[in-house]
This record gives sequence, structure tokens and C-alpha cells, in this order.
Amino acid sequence: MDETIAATSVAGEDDELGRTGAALRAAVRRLYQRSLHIRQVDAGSCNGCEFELATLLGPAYDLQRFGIDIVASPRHADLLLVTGPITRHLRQALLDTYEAMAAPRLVAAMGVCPITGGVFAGSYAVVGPLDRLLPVDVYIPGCPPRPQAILHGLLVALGRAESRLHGGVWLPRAETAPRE
Amino acid sequence: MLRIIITALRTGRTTEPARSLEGPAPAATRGRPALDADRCDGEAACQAACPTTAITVGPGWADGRRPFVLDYGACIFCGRCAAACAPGALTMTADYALATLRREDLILRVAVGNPQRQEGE
Repeated sequence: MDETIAATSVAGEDDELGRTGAALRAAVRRLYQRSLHIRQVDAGSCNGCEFELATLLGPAYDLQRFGIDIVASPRHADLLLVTGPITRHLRQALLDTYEAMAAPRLVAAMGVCPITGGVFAGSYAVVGPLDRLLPVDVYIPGCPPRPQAILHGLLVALGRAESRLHGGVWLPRAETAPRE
Repeated sequence: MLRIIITALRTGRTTEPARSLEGPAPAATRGRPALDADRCDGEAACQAACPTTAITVGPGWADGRRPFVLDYGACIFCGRCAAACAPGALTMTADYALATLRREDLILRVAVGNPQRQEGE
């Protein structure tokens, strides 16, 4: 797969392309709002994120009640959840997984590793960050993000919760609670 | 068997309510470091302490001010910046729900420093 087809979109929301892209993404989010299937790819993660993710499926957080589930095949998935800093070895597997997903598809970067490389940044074995390889729809920072933060990130991706950080500034919680 | 059923019934529902997921976190939760730009002296002790280079201060001064950039996309909430910060401008918070749709939203950019600071100090 050529890397250029998945080049990062850096278009601002002011120009026409950016507006179209934003509208498209909103439409996709509406489409998946009630039911989202996730394929998770560990691209060199330390497994901290996987531990947090696994707790989401347990009784305490119960991901399924939000209509969100983790599936075994990228062909069944709507969202690609990437953990880890994208190592050289996992790069092709990650791109193949993305290719196997049916469009429209979302990509989530979970943990600081796929966002900037985190503690692995600058390593010879790392080809990330993720947005150099795939168009990322939602960033879920944390090392690792706690289960509630992952859930918040997924709901933000679906347009069911509001983003709290804007330009690095934390905004107080909006009065509207996320719909269940 | 009966005992198990009785225990399960007594335990009841253990799932966290959806509304609590964004609510206040326990005090020990490690969340994002917050900057009080008015207290920051711009001496960049945090930058030296940060293991993931999430914090960049400067380079250079202009009228006693310099840019401070904190990337929440690199921060691992270790708290070393807050420990190194002499004026107490950086503090750790329990804010954990940091997900954003745009990369730029994760980056805090402010001008910090003391306008009375002498050049070449």
C-alpha cells in the first residue's frame, strides 16, 4: 500500500476541503452513533493500554451497553483502535488492517504512543506517530488512558460526548451529560 | 449453588452509571498537569524534568516573555514537571478525559515569564 493514499489531512476547517471533510466526518459519526464495532491493533504497545481496554468489557464499565463492541476481524469493524508507537514490524500489518476495513471507517489513536511516540519516541524501531500513516479521527491521550477516558474518547468520536480540551485548555464540563 | 445466587442478588448491579464516567475522579487519579501561566517564571525546570519532552519552553526571551508549549499528546502524567516547578505553576490534576478530534487541541501554547526579567541573565 502506498503511504500517500493515507496521507494526513491537515486542511483547516476554513477552506472548502476542510469543511467538506468536517461534514463528512460528522455524517460518519451520525451513522455509527448507536452501534460501533472496534478492531483493536497493538502496534508495539507495552500492553498497558490493552489492560485498560480489557476492563471496559467487564461488568464495571460494560462497553456493550453503549452499543460499542470489540470484534475479531477488521472486516466487521467500523473503527480501528490503535495502541503502541507503531513499530517498524507492525507498520505493514496495521496498514493491511486499515485496508481490510470497509469504508467509511474511523481511526482512533489510544494512549500517547500512537499520538507522539510517548516514551518510545525517537527509537530506531518506531515509525509513528500514527497520523503520519493513517488519517486519525480521535486522539485519546493518557499513559495509559483510564477506562473512563477511553470510553469518553469513543463517545467523542461518535459525537455523543463533548471534547474537554480545546487548544490545550481544559473547559469545564458542559451541562449536557452524554446520552446512554 | 443457592448461596451463590443469594450473594449475586445481594451484590446487585456493579456497573458504573454512564453519567459518572465523566464525573469527578478519585483524588489519587493521575491526570493532566495544569499550568498557571501567571505564576510561571519561564525558567524551564519542567522542560529538563520531562521524560517524554512534552514540554518545550522558549527558545529565547522577548520582553521577559517566552513561549511555553505543553503537548498532552506526549504527557505520561508522571508529575516530574510539577515536582521540579519552583514557583508551583504546574500542578497535577485529576482531569483524565482528554480525548479530542483534532491534534492541535491537545497542545497548550501560552506566553510565560516575568516582564521585569533582565536580558542575558
